Amino acid sequence: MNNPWVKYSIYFVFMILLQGMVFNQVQFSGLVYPMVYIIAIIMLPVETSLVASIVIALLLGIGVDMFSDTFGLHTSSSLLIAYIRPFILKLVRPRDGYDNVLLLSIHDMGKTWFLTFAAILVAIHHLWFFIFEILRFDLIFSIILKTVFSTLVTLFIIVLLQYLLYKPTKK
Amino acid sequence: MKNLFNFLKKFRNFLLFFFLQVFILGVYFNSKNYHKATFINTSSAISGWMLKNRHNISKHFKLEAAIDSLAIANSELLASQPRSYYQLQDKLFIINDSIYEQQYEYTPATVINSTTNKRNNYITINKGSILGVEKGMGVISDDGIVGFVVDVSNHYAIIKTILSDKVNISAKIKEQEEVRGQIKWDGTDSEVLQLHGITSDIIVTGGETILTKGSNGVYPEGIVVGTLKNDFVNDGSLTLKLNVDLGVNFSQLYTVYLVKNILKTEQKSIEQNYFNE
Repeated sequence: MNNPWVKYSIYFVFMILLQGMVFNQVQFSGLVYPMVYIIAIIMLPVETSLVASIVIALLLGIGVDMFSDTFGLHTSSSLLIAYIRPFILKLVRPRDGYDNVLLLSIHDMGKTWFLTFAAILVAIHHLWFFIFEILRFDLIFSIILKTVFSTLVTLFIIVLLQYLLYKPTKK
Repeated sequence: MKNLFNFLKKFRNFLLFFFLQVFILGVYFNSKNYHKATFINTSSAISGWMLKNRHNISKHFKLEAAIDSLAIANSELLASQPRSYYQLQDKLFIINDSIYEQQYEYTPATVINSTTNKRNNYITINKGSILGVEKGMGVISDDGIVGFVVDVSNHYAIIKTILSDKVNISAKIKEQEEVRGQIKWDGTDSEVLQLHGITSDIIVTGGETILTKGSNGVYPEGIVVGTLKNDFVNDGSLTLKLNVDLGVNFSQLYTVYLVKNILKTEQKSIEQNYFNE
């Protein structure tokens, strides 16, 4: 049980089920569609190789697609954020680097850092998702509204889950 | 050759990402086409089973609305039966009917998963190919037209609803039978559809019932689509832009009926020599 990858696999399946069974049913006003499962990509350890995170994103996306009749849209968006995550990590690098970081959680990294990092990735993921879902230039206003509101709700749930699932790691 | 390997090594990650992305988007755009769905969907065994179990829990929250609509449908059916009529003459009702032959059969099914907030909205139902569900069958509910079957597994089927891109359904106005149009959805409001092809010389006032025309044999004639809204403007253009209030509430959908057209193969076989040239 102490192997971090065993823990991660359980967490991974849990996230797919949570998205498929609970958050796919959130359908008020047509603007809010929280996609919380991407936290499983956002919180991968810093030293994960890019190939590993792309493969994880592929499996995660297919898992969620199987529950939501989106035929690969979730997979595509997950692949995108898995690919650009190292660049964003570099962009929001804290002053003393990532050397002592065990877990990219809100407790270990601080509220400001975590919210900035998660907000960038969630916004990119949602924007890509809604652009390819709607794919019409005359509905661009609707794409932007959906992205903004869904990003806010997803971030809120992600922060909530942080406090529910994690404790600060002891150093 | 060495340069090529160096290049591949340098851009390995990008190439992996790029090819996966192109492949997945290919799958996605392929499945957006009319009458096509891919292997990644809710009719697969694992997710279908799980969604069915979730439905077994959450169905109790929808039962009241479902029972109400079934009761209304039942009372309408009872009212239309011969025994509900007062018999003015003896032997007026003919039992062995040689005028009508049954053309449509209906199979009830339960909705176990649905969406309403996407550009293309799908429904998963709990009947599959074992019980005779086929691709292309029409789907209706007590309140009106729902969609058509796009993919079938052994125990489940996926329905593309009329709340989707590139779905055209020929329709007519109940009060003016000869007026024909096309029903489409513009993707903005999940309770409002658009009726195209009504020329501006036709007088409509709003409140008319829109029915299916039933010309291609997927739906029977006269299934309700919705009610015409009166928010259109006659601005002098050739056709009117009409909005239709949808009859079906997709988020409350519980029981649907699969329509099987017994005469469809006959219609297709006689049409194919002339319509597909």
